[in-house]
Amino acid sequence: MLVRERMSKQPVTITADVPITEALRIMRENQVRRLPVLDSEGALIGIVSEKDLLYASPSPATSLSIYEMHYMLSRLKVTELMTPDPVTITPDTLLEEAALIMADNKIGGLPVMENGQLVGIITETDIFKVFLELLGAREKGLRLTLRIPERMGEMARITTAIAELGGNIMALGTFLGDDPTTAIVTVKVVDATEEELEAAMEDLELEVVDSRET
Amino acid sequence: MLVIERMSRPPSTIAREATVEDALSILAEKKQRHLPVLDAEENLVGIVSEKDLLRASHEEPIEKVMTQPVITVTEYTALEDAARIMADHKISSLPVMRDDRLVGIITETDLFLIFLELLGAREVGVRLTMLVPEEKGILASLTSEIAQMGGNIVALSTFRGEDPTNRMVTAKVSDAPTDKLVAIMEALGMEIVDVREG
Repeated sequence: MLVRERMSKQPVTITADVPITEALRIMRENQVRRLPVLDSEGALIGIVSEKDLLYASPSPATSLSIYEMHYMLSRLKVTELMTPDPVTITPDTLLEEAALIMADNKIGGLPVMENGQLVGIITETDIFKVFLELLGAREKGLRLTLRIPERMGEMARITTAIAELGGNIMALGTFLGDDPTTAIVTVKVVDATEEELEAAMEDLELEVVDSRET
Repeated sequence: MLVIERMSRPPSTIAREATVEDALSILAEKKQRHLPVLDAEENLVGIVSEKDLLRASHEEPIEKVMTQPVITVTEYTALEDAARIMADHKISSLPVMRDDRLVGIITETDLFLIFLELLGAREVGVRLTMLVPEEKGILASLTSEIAQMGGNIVALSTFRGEDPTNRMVTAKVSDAPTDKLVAIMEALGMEIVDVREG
């Protein structure tokens, strides 16, 4: 799965000379938490998050009068608060690479560039939705969690046993186990009963950690 | 995979009588974005986010700015259910309860790390993305073929396809040559969308 398939295309952007009050208004209006910042030629020069702007805003307990505060905020420009030269990716970056970059750099969104042009933005929330899909969180079915030995052909044995029961796998994901010799597999199945499935997994000598209808 | 396996415990908390300033300094120190709020009997009475705090004045008591009632999960909530609750309510952390006591917290970041695991982002192997026809037993034949050629599946996940007749499968496989893997998948009728080694 590539970034191209899940990014928001033609993201809302702002220019560097916009006051932060205006930037906050644009964020609220478009329900976004970060805005790529462009220069007058349309080149990407930074990214600014709602949090950057909130940290810069004086607390309501400030000794400034409301007029002074508005004056100050209207003078403070995005360019002073944005992260310059942000980390970017391309539409052909893998989704998990994008996720890895976000996790390793503790950032919540990445501008997507193609041929020097900003073509999209991908955020933690976009990746979060893919995660829901991966685990079939919105599908109905019987959800089994198995602890399996980390060895060749194990996945084939599981999926074959489910197919032989007439079950259809709606979602399947593998996780790291408690130690390097095991893995955890979560699988959501329809058209097979809980008893049948549990019996089949026991025949394969696999540990059923959890089983529930969703 | 259940919440208990990935939650942080014990969570940092704040008393309801504390001030916004107190809460902000705890968040900065612990590098967190949320704090569950407890009363004197250690009952969970609310939750505050960094953003709530930034919008408030520093001297204000926590109970004035906290969100309540709080949406919570238990240790035995499935991780994807926790994720779905976060997505549906547009929140990024959930206190974890056991019999009315706060025992942990699970955040969007915890779930994010699991996502990386699911896709084997930190594992080494050939990574295949395929469009697979939506039919019973298709994953069984796919995984059997990989096993037969001596390949080891280190990560496997399924996504929604382009339409209801197909789905997208991402597999990371070690111990198998890329060209042979691709040839076998194509012979099975899979449409290879992307291949890369990583």
